[in-house]
Amino acid sequence: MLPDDLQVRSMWASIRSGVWRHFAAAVLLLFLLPLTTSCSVSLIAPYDSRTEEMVTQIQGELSAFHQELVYDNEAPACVYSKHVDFYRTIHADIANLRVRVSAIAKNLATADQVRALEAGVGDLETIHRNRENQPPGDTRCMGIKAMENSFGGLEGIIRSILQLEMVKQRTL
Amino acid sequence: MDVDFAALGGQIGERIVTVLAGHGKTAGGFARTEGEKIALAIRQIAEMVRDGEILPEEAPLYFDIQMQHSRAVLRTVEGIGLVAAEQAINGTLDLIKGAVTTALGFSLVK
Repeated sequence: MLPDDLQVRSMWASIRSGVWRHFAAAVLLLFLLPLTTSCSVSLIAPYDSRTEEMVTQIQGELSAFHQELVYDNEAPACVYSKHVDFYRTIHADIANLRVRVSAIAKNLATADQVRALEAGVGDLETIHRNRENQPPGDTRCMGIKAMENSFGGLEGIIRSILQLEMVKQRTL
Repeated sequence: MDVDFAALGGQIGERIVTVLAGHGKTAGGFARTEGEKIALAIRQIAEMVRDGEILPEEAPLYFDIQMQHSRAVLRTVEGIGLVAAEQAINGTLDLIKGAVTTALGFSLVK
């Protein structure tokens, strides 16, 4: 190989290396360009203390209602028609919470959790209402084990909502 | 009740993993745990029907409450993933604001 060839090869290698360096820089800039419009990126809604308060209040209402049914687990004290006020109140409170979380941008996960809670409370109400149509006696009440199952599920939904808010609070 | 609930939990977990993987997420361990919880819920509901604690026609409502619970748990996992992604991106931006700005001699990030 001639010395001139070596020089040409070396020059080409240098040019190619330079071109690639600039190409890589251009690709990097293209990637970074969308990020230059703001100083931080937001993918999920920030922590909302009001959401936490409202969810905690709903949990308190559910726990109190659960204990009321456990301690008054005999007809007619347990039947649905004696507890319509509870359902009216909790549906209103969940609706308020739904409106609030839906109004916050990038809050889809929490909004869907609240819809899950709304559906779960609706299931509980249907079970309770249908029980009242059973023959007179204790079968008109929801059983203790059955209530542990249903209220446990609802508490799990509330726990999930609170866990997500706490993660937002700690990290965002 | 001739049901292998351990196997059922595994099958439900695998199904959740498949669906999550289809959405570009990896939450295998979590999905399997959730699958086991759903299988346990099915077992408890079946036992309550067997013991006369609930009526057969009530079973779908009890099961729906447990499914709503799983839905909420999955949403928490999704949210935690978004928080993690947001932190990763903003950590990158902090790096760019510091070392990269110094190296370039001008600011890329406002």
